[in-house]
Amino acid sequence: MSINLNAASFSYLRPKGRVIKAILPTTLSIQPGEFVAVVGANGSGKSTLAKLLNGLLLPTNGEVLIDGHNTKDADNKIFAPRQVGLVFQNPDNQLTATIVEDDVAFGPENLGIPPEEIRARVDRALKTVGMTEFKDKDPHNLSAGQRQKIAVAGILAMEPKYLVMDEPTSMLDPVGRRDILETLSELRQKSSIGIVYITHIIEEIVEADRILVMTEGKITAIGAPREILTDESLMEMASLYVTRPTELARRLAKKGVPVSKDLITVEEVVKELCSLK
Amino acid sequence: MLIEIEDVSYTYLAGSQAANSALSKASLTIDRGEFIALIGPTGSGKSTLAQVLAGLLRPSFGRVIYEGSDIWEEPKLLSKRRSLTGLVFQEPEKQLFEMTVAEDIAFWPKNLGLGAEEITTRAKSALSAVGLDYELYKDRSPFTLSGGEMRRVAIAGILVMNPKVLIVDEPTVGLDHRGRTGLMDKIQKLNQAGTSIVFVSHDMDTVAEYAQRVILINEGRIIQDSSPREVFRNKEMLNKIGLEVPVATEIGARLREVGYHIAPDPVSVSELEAGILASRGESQR
Amino acid sequence: MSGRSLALGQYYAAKSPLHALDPRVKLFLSLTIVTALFFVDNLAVLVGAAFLVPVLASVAKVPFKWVLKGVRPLVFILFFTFLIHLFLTEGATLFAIGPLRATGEGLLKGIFYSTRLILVILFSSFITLTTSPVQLADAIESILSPLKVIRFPAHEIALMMTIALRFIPTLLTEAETIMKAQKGRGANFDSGNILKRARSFIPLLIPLFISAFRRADELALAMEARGYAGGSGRTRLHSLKITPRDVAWLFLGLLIIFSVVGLSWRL
Repeated sequence: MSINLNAASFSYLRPKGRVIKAILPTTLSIQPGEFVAVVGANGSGKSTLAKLLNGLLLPTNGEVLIDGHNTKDADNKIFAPRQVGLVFQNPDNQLTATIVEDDVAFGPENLGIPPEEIRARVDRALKTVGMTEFKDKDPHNLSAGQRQKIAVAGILAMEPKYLVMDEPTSMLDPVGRRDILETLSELRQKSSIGIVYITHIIEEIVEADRILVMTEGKITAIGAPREILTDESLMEMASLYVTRPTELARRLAKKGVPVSKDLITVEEVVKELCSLK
Repeated sequence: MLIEIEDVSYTYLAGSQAANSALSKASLTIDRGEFIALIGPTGSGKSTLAQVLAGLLRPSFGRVIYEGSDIWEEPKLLSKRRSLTGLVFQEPEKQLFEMTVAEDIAFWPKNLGLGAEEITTRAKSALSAVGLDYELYKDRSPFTLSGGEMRRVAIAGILVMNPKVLIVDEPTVGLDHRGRTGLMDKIQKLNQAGTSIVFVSHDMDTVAEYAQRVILINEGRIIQDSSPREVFRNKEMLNKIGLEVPVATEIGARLREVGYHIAPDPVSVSELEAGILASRGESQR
Repeated sequence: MSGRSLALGQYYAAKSPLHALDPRVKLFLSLTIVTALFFVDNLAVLVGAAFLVPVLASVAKVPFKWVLKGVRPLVFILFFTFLIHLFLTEGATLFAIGPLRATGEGLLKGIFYSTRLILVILFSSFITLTTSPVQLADAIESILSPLKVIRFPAHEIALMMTIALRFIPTLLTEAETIMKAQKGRGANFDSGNILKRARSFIPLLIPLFISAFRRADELALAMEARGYAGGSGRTRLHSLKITPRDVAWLFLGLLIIFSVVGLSWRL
C-alpha cells in the first residue's frame, strides 16, 4: 500500500502554444504512516504535485497509483479523494457551510456515508483537531488557525489513508501555526496516515521522515532532514534558507567549539552545548 | 517629530451592543528614520493601531498629529495630510485593479491631480525602490505577474506617495524565502534613505533582525515600547500572551539554565555565538 | 475583524420545540398563516391573533424584543400603507391637509391593513428566527426535489444558497479592507455627482470581483478534493425526517389557524 508516482508528469498548454512541464518524470513512493515534507521556491511545482497525488490533476505522461489504483481510471474519480485528502493554503476558501459540523460533514456526505456514521466521524474528526466545543459555531467567527483546523477535520472525516497539505500554515499567525503542527504530530503518533506536507518554513519540517526538494518543476532531491538541510549547495540552488540553529552550530564549529556542524533543531543545539558544560 | 498620537482609543461598532474596544489610550511618537516593529498577538489591536497611524481610522478619542497638526481637525486637508504616511495592507496585491502596472501606480497621483510628467517620475522611482524596472513592467497587466511581483507593484502604488512613514502589515506573508529576504532588504533600503518604517509582524526573528524599536501591544494597550533587546528579555510574558521570542533568545535562555554565562538578551545568532564563546572562554580560564 | 458577523435572517439560536420542528413543516405552517391572515376581515380577530405573537415567541424561546426587530426595516412601508388608506378612502372627513382628506373609514382601514401587514411580517419572521440558514436551504431542497424529474436543479440551488451565506460575510470584510486601502491611496468614495461616485467604486469593485472569482476557483477545487460530484448519491448528516411530533405540531397549528379564520367569518 502506497502512493506511487511512476514517471508522472504534468504539462499544460499556454495560449502561445508553449508547453510547460510542471513536473518532470520521476518515480516516488509515499507510504502510510510516513511524513514527507516538500519544499521549494514559489512556482517550483509543489502545488501541482499535491494535485497529482489526489487525482485533482491527471498526469499527462506516466501514472499515479493510489494503493494500486490508477487516478486516470474513471472508476477512481471518487476513490482518489477518499484515499488522499487535500488541505489547501487558505482556510477561508475551503469551507462550504456556515456551521462547523455541517462543514466537516460535507466530505462524508459526498461519499454517501449513512447519517449515523457521518455523525460519528464528524465527532471523531472534531475531537482529533480539538475543536469539539466549536461544532455549532459559524467558522467566520473563528480565528484563521481554528478555521484551518476545521478544514483538516473536514478531510479527516473522510478517513483518508494519506493527507496532503499545501502550505496549510502560510496564512496563519504563530499560535495558529503551532496548533496545526501539534495536530499533525498527534496524527503521526496516533494514526498510520501518510502525510505529504508542503511548506516554505524549514523549521516546521526538521522532524519529517523525508524531505523532497523541488526546483523548476523537478524533484531535485529526496532525503532525511539532516542530509538535505545541511547540504549547502542544494539549499542555495533551491533558494531555501539555513535555519538559525544550523547557522549557530556551523559558526561555533568553525570557531573550534566541539559541536557537530550538522545540527538542525533547537533541541539538538541545546543538547550538544549542554554536554560541553 | 513626524507623528504623535495622544491617548488614542478606538471602539468598533461604537454605541451598539457588540461594541468592541480595539485600542485604548495609546500614545506614541514616530521620528524621522526610525525602524519600528509593532508586535502583539492576533486581535491585540495592531492592525487598528496601524490604521489609526495611517489616518484611515478616526479614533473615538484622542488626537493623531502629523508634523504638528491634528489631521482630523480639518476634513478638507485630510486627504493631503494623509499622504505623510503610506499603509501597505496585508496581501496588498489584492488592491490592484488597473489594466497596466503604470496606471495602477498612478492611482494616487491622479487622485491628487499631479501632472503626467510628475506621475511618471514618481512611478519610476517607486518601482525601482521595490526592485522592478519601469520600462519593463509599465505596460504589463498586474494580473499576469507572479505573486511576489504583484506584491511589489502594490507596494510601489503606496511608495509613489513618497510617504515619510511607511507602515507595512505582515509584508512577507505567503512569500517564499527569496521573496521574503528580497522584500525586507528593499524595506531596509528605504529606511536607510530616511523613510520611517512601522513594521507589523508576527515573525520575531525578522523583527530582531531589522527593527531598532519594538512596540508591544496586547488587548488594545501598548504595554512596552523599547529596544528589541529589552522587549525580548521578557520571554515568559511574551509566551504567556501567545508570542514567541527570536530563536537566538530562546536558545540563549535554555543555555543559561544549564549554567552558561550568557547575557539574557541575545537577539541574533551572532550575538548568541559571541555569548557562548565568551562563556566558554571564561570557564576555561 | 472576523468578530463581526452578519445577522443574516437573524437566526436566534436556542433549544425550543419550534427550533426542533421540521423546517418544511415550519415553512408550510407559516405559508398557511400568511394566507389565512388575508382571509381574516375583522379587525378584532386580527388584534386577537396579535396576542399569539408573544405566545409563539415564548414557545420559541426568542426574546419578544428580538421578534419585533423584524418590523423595523419595514416601518416606512407600514406608515405609507397607513397613509394611503387614511387619505384615499371615501367617507366622512376627519381632518384635511391641503387637498388631502383623512376619513374615519380611512383611519379604520389604515389600522386594519397595517396591523395585517405587521402580523404577516411577525409570523413569517419566526421561520428565519428559529431555522438556521443551512436548515432552510435543506428544506427548500427537499420541497423542490420532486421537480428533479424535470431536471430542476433543486440540490444545486440549495447548495448555492448555503455557499452564498458562507461567503457573504467574508466578502464584506474584504470589501471593507479594500475600501480602506484605496482610501489610503487617495480614493474618494463619497463625494461628487452620481456618475463620479459610481466611477469611484471601480477601484473597490474590480479587486472584489477578482477576489470572488479566485475564491470560487479555490472553493471548487477544494469541493472536488472533498469528493463532491453533484447531488446524486449524497447523504446528509442532518437528514430531514418528519416525526410524529412534527405531525402533532402541524395539526395543532392548523387547528389554531382555522379556528381563528372561522371565528372571523362567524363574526
